[in-house]
Amino acid sequence: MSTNGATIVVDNVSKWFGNVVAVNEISLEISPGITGLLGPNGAGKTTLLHMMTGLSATSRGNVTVLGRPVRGDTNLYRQIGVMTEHQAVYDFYTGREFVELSARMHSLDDVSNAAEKAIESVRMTDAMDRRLSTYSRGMRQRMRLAATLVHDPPVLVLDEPLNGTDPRQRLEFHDLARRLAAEGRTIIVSSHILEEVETLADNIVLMVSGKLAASGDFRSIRALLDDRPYRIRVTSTSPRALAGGLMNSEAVSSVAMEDNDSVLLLTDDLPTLQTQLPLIARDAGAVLQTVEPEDESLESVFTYIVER
Amino acid sequence: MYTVFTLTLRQLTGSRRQAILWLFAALPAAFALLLRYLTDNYVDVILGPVFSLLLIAIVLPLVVAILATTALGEEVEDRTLAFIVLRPVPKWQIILAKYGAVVILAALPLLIFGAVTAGIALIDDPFGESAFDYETAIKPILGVVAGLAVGIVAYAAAFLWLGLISGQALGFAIVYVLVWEGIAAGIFAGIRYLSIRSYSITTLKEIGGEPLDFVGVIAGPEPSLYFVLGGAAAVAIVFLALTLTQLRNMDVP
Repeated sequence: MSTNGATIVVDNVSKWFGNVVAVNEISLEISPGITGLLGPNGAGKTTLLHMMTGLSATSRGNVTVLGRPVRGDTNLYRQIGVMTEHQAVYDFYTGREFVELSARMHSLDDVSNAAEKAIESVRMTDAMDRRLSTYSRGMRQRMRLAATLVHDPPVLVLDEPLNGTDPRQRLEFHDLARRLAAEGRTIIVSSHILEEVETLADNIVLMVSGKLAASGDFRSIRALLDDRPYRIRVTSTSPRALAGGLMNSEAVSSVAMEDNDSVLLLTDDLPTLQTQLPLIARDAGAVLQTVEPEDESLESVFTYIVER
Repeated sequence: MYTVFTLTLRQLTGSRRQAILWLFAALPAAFALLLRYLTDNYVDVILGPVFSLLLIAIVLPLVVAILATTALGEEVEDRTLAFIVLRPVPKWQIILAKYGAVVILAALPLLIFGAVTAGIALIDDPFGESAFDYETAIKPILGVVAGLAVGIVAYAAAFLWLGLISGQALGFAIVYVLVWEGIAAGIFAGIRYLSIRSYSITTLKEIGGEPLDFVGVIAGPEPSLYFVLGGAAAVAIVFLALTLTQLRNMDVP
């Protein structure tokens, strides 16, 4: 561990493939607890996680886990559990055999007992003697998680672990992750879904286009997200009258007509607009048909934070 | 290492692949059986074209190539390699376990059907005394087994490396066998010193003795048995070292 208690230290790390820079000069320290690695698809999350786990070499910079360089130190994997993004498993094994395979590779003393305990923790005991090829995506993810947990590692790196899981399985995963974190483990969970990480992680690392956009506790990043201006498209029975009414609202910073049938507006104060819009429409004699955010994609949200 | 070894055995035997390989490896024996009943000079034809052109030139390298390029190549392609390298198993153990599984799975059909093919050509009465004559039956069959084993050991290492560095490893393996060992070795006599096929044929003839003189007749001096055994061992060691270096340095998908 570093002197300030960080389990994972990423020091000025970059990764490029030819002319493409996938990760650009990222430095961060990750301490015990749950850290969410958040960013849109293609942001470089998986590349960063691969460097953190030693699967990929860095083009520049260093990564240490528990104070040791992770790349090339095979013994370090006794203390790290890694679940990669791709759902590849050995289909010819049953769930139990797959987890036992992982336990054997870790040279555990009681393979069978460790495997059963790990499978129980992801609530897959009933299906553990079925072949992996018969599992749903969510079941497969849970059995992969069991194989990752089987050696009881103090550091867990989970790349998109909730892919393919249903809401109940997500809640169960949240409970499990919190329980493991409460025992003092360092857990990194990557996701491209904001809400998924919001309810789970204590700390957030936000990546956009290979760069570190923000990091810290979730509340401060959420505040950044809430401060941004929103572009809203409104269609109604009387768009011109509605546009006139909206121009008088303090919650609206600009109004524009689009194709003569919809109004595009910009607001810094979404809660006030939500209250005022129906009243303005009523006063203008317009019936609201659709109210849609123009730029609610995660990419645009993250890009806004980077540009600030 | 044993865990990765058994995992690889299951990977390589769990599909129709192994059945197809056994059928393919049985082709020379099937041809030999046909020739024995259809022609009078079956001994010359079996030990000549069937051994040289079919068993050693095609069946041996292809059976090994299919297994060896799959052993690591399939793990890269379907992204299960990360599962293994993220466990505390030294990389050299992963390579040796994969290599051992390939050698065993290739050796079983090739050595069995190689010996059967030789037996069909050399043994008049499989239930008579001639079947146990050392000079005319046992020694040449041992030569066939040894020659094929040398080829398996060397090809397996080379193709294991190929499987790790290329997604088209099987294609490259076939090109290597056809161009280098087929065409180039036919034109430039010196290539026999750098050819796995030549190592295999020389071992087979040197150990098998006179009955195998018809196998792979090439003009000019043949390398010695010690040279080809050393050459095959060098090929295996060099390519296993290259595979280990590649696994240590590559970005695992």
